[in-house]
Amino acid sequence: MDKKLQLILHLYGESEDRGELRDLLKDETLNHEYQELSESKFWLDHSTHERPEKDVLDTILAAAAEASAASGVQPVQQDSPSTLRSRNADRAPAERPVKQRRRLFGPITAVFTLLVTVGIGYQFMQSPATLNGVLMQESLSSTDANAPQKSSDEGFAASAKEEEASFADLDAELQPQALVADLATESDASGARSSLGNTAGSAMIADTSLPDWNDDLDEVLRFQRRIDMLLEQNKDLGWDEAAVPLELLPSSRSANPALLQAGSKKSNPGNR
Amino acid sequence: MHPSDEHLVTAYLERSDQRAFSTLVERHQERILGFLLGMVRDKSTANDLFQETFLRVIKAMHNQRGSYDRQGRWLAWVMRIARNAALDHLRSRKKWQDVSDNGDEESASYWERLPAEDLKADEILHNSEQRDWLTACIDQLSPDQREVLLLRHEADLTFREIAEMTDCSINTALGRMRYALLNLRGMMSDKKKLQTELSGS
Repeated sequence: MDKKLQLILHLYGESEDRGELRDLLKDETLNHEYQELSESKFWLDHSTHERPEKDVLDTILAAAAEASAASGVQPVQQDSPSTLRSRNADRAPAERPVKQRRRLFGPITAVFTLLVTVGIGYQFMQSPATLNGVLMQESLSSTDANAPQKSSDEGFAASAKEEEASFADLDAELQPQALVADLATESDASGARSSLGNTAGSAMIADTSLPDWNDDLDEVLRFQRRIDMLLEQNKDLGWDEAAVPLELLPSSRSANPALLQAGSKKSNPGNR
Repeated sequence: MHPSDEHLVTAYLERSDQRAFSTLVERHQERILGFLLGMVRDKSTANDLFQETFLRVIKAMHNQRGSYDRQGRWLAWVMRIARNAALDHLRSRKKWQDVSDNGDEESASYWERLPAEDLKADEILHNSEQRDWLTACIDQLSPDQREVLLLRHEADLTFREIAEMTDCSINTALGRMRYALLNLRGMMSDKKKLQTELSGS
């Protein structure tokens, strides 16, 4: 190779033999030419470079993405050409979930509002029957033969407590079937309920839309308690004796001074 | 550590990694555009050819037009396409006919065969900016010299790659480069001489 051409290779670093360059530069003519070549190269190396226009780059990158899509290879990313060249644009897709949430917020709020409205309406529709059902259940519980006798006020207070608990359950579940099932379970768990209570409770569970029946039942139960109390108090009396008119009773038969013969009352002037 | 061109090409072709292709374009855009700008001497036309080049590149990479054999020289392959695009443009404008290719470039550069007409002083003065002046000097080079100079300086190809691309021997490529640099040096000396004369007067 011509020595002048070898200088070009050394000038552009395409020859690794530095010793050869030193030998070449010992020649004054070659050394002078090397200086001139270096000066030109310096100006070229320090010349500025142009960059392509943005539209041109966008077109190229769009064509590249289109070609990839046409080739059928699954892309690892689907950024638009503009996002490929800008870190700021890289953050744009991250905002997409936020916008999605904003778009979904309206319908979700509307559905939630509708559900709450329906739930409240249903609760108002079911509240009287439920309240009656709770009172009925409490009344049934008070007919337990083994339970101690409660006064009317104590039973009502207990019924109020049960009523509050029942409302809490109702708010939690808002399902009439669940309430009925709960009542049925409580009825089953209570082993000492009277047949009347069970029958009435079953009727109440089956049809909770009979508020008047509840009041009547309360009165019946009160009468039943009264009868039971009178039986307890008069258990020493012989109910199996034959009926005897007072007029036939001897005066000394009864220690009760109020039990006087009618004739004696009329004939006794001291009583007047 | 920057991924190699071949790594990016593989990522783009096999995984449709658009960022990889974008990196390739970003990495070599100035080289390719600089070469095209030096060839056609018009910025708008150079941008058009830059786009045309990469559209051809994309088609070829997907085997729609031509082929890319992945021999580890993606830039040289792209530069060949860019050169063909530039030559097609120049041929269409019939500017390539101004210079005949008689195969004597190794013994005598195009600059030496130009009419003995130095750059006019007013032309040099008009190019006040150094870059504009350097561009104007490159424009005065013969097409072969300018092409080799642009491929070496702008595209950063080796002389062996340039020889393969321009279908000539490496000695021819080196000879064209030598004359290009010496002619530029001569034009710079003329400028200095002119500036000295103007400052003296």
